[in-house]
Amino acid sequence: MYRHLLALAVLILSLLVACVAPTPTIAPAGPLKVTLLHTNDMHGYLEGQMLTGSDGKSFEFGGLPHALGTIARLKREAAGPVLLFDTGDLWVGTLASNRDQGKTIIAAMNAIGYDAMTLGNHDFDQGVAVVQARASEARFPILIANIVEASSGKVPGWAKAYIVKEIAGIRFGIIGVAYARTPGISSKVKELQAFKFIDELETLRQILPEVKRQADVIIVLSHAGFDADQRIAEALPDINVIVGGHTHTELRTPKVIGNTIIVQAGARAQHIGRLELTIDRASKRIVDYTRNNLLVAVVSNKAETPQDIAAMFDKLIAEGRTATRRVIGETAIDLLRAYTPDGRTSGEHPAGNLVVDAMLWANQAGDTPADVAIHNNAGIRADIPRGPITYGQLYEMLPFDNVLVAMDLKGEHIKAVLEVAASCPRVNTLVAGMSFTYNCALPAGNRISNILIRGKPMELQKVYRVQTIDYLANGGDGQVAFKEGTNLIYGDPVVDVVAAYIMQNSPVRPRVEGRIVEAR
Amino acid sequence: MQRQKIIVYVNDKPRETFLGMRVRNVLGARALQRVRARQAIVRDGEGNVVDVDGALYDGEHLYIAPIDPTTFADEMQRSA
Repeated sequence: MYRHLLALAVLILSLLVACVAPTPTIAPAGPLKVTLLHTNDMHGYLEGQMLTGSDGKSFEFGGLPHALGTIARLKREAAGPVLLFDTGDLWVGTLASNRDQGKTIIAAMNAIGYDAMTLGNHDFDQGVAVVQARASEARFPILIANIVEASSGKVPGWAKAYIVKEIAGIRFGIIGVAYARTPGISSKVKELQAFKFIDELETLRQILPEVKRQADVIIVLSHAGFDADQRIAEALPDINVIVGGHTHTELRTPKVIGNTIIVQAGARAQHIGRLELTIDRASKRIVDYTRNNLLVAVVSNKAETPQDIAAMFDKLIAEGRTATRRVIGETAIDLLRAYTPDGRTSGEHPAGNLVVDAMLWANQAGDTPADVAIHNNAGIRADIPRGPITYGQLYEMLPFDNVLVAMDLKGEHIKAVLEVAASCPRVNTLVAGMSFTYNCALPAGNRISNILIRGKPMELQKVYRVQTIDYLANGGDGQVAFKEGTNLIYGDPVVDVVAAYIMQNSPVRPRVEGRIVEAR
Repeated sequence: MQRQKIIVYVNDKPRETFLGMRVRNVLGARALQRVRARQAIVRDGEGNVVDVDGALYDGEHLYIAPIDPTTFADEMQRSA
């Protein structure tokens, strides 16, 4: 009996203890793993490059539809939450994308679930109104802490300086910085005067304490370039991660400076950056991160592009191809080149005059219009017969993706350019707004005479405004005198400038009119 | 507006150029063609691959190295 009573008492006591004892807590979860996926400098590359492997199979490498499809796959495969960023230079760079002005790309990024982006210098190439329109369509914030309105000193209303995003109790402060020198290398110089572009490092130094008070992990989206990102990391150790762009650097392993991890994913939608952060939930600090194989190559056979996104891009690519075949105007004469006896393009000819006339007409030299335009003969690669002209034909004529560059150059340096061009028998230059005589019987360096600019004799010490292309401005074809140029302004791609000229002035009829004359 | 000049080193040879120029501008036409055909690759001073349209910065070192297009394709498949 006693035994039964004792057993009952023990049972009751056990139940009582069980009732009053604290409920065992759920074992603390392990550290939080957050995957950062990132893209940069995709430049509107809708289509990738065809590659063939050793198995003989071909596939497309890169291209926005496949990049977003790869992101879809990586999001599905991620061990935990995902943050998805882009760091700018998004849509300007290809004909189809330029025409669309980024609308389709932003719509696709909305669908795939981007969390934020910052802007690159080329995002302003089509004007601020276009950027503003894309920002209004984006269902993710545009972060540009270092661009403020000149009038108010504030970040424009269509953007933000930073956001704070909480994931599983960890607060991520995400700041964006655009390329501070954008006005100095943009064709939209005047338009950008409405804004102040502030140094990236100084901006971050100022804003960091404010963000730090609200966040556990600091991520900077930067279009400052790999060199600047390293300087930022050295100066501001409170930044945990810098997601970079602008220099198109493929960082397969992270660059780590102090406690700051720098990543960047190349360009042209060829790679997706993937950085996994392991964060201790108690201290809210990063305790580990991916140390290698950060870049996931974008290949068509492994992308999981959602059908709706693929359809959006298919339409855009088809429109781009149609645009390439579209007639933009016509020429009343055959746009032919001239040649030396050994078959090299040389001297003045209708095809070349069309190009330099368009360069001068485009008036992209800044406040002071250009006096002359100079292009090399070697850069004109095809003729166009009399009749309709398509954009595709124009691109065959000008296939090098050169952009306009305007500069101040003294007369003596212009003469030096012409002397180098007169390599005899070839004269490797084309000019507008000027004329000159060359004499191949004279020694190199003394072959040019009778240089007229706007009908007046050129003065050696006078400074002229010269419109040329980036290839020559950088000293291409041995034209080192261009490096004496000052006050450079970058403009649009030459092929687009010539296309616009043809559209405005069709039918064009450039004639050989004695700009480049051989001495008799 | 005064343009800042920068110096970059291509295969350790200094090249003066302007801020705003791209990698393609200092490579030379033949090297650019080889890079486009995946017969060559451009790396920075730390061995990172850089794209030909990447912005140049002062003091940047660039090295052009030959690659095999098929090997490159295989590597991209492996890292996909």
